[in-house]
Amino acid sequence: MSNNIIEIIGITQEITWNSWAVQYFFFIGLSVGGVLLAAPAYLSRTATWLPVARLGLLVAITTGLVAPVALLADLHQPARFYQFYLNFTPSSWMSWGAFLLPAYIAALLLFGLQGLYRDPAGNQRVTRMAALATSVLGTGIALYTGSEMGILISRVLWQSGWLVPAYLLSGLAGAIGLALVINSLQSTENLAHSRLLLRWLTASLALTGVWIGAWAVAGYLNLSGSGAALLRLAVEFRPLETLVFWIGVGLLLPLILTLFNHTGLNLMTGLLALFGTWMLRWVMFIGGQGIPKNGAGFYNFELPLTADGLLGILGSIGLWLLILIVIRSLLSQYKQPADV
Amino acid sequence: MDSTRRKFLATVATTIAAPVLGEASAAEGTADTQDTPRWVMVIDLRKCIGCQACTVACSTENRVPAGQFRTLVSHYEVEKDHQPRSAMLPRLCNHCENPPCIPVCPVQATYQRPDGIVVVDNTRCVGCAYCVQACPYDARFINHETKTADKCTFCVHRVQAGLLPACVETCVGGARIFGNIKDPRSEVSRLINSVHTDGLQPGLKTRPQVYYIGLDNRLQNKIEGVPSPWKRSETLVQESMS
Repeated sequence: MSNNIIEIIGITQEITWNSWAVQYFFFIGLSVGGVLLAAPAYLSRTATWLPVARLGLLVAITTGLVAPVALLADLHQPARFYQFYLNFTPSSWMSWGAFLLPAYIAALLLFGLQGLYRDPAGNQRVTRMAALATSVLGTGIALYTGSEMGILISRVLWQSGWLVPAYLLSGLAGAIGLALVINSLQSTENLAHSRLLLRWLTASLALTGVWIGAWAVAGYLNLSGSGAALLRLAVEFRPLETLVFWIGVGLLLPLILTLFNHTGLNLMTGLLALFGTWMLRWVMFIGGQGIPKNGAGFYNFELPLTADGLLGILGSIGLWLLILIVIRSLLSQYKQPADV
Repeated sequence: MDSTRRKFLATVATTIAAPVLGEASAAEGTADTQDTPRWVMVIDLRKCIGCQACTVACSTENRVPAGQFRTLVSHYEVEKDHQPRSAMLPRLCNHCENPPCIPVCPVQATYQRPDGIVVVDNTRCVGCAYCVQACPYDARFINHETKTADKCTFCVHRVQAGLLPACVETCVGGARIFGNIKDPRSEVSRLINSVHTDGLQPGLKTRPQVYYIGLDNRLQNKIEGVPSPWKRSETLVQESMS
């Protein structure tokens, strides 16, 4: 930091993409991660993978249904959402997202209906088609969510191709973590499923860590402006929150716990992996907007306790829980699923 | 009446047809012909004393909510020749020739008029804040009252009525000069052609149409310095105290 310029008058720019945006990117990331976990098994009909794939599909549907609610809540004029559909704008990634998201959710619901309810007795060809369509649209979701931020020349941290894989890998880790949590909370935890999920969680967390590490190294070597901004964010602006909570608690700790492979730790491991997925998005959004475009220093963010802040975060998690309970209840009432 | 205003009024009278001055809305604008003006602003920092009269005039004219600003004079203390000295930097929308805020708007609520002024249709804006993120100059914000994107419009309602923007009208030192860059006789053209001017963040290739005279190049991009005490983070406070 140069000390030969002192800012006497300058204002803090508000964080306009706040906790609702984080929640949207969190839930949609989990949903796409859940599809990654489920679709290959349904497409290949791998018998050993299918029970875990059902858990992945349950994760994808429940989180996928919460995501649009969080996205609407992030709009300052949510009742005008119809304007997206009256004014398609090809130059805007957000406009593409407005069309991709409902298509993805529709395909996902069909995939869920087939995969969780009708598949064994029903038409497997329809299931495969639905899995394929959901995968393609899910790829579109992953691409648009990362690119929406990546094309902004105004924010060096976000202006990067590193974001799409980072979101995808961490979303997969979070989805596996959530599947592990759901499996752990079932009346009889299926240990074979837990072991498989733990192996995949180790791999996805390690890949996420390697990717983020490579991003930071690229910044250190002056090969990536966004990598340099990432390093600066971690080292100069928010060392405690960024390094301890995100990398320490959200990435390294669950990675270590997966290696222990202890049944009693599965719930905790899954929750920590979920936290890491959320924290990556929190750091990118809130931390990224904290780096001034013009002014000096760093803009701090204080999380409000209202619906725009903590209450909104808890509310969206509560909504996810409600959707999970409803879907599980419907499935158990009309069908006796073997693994879900 | 000073020469700037006289020339400005002459430009308005000769370049904008009467119907345009009358009922034409921002959305309608005019066809981009040779006669259509291209409004720009020149800010002579040698004359700016940081009185914030422009800030107040803008907020009053445009009823900007308290705590939010369409324009603001940033004030810095910079070191020059081992001596501290004040440096002012009035900030506002740059009405760029290549505005990054427009293509990202998912509902086409923000657009550029043929005369170069970038405006927001706040009856269509969904408040997604994508344009706020895309603007490299922090010129946009979500208006707390309308819940839509807001920004400087060069006081388009005044310009259409043949008046100067409020900030230009009120500037005590005459530091802000507004006019048509297409008119070679205009004050802005004369200044841009005769004095060295700089734009903010030239590396982003947005081609800003606010031209600064006497801009310290250390203020041209993101400021690397000690932040204002109003927003200083705990970390930076500790650093500066140690």
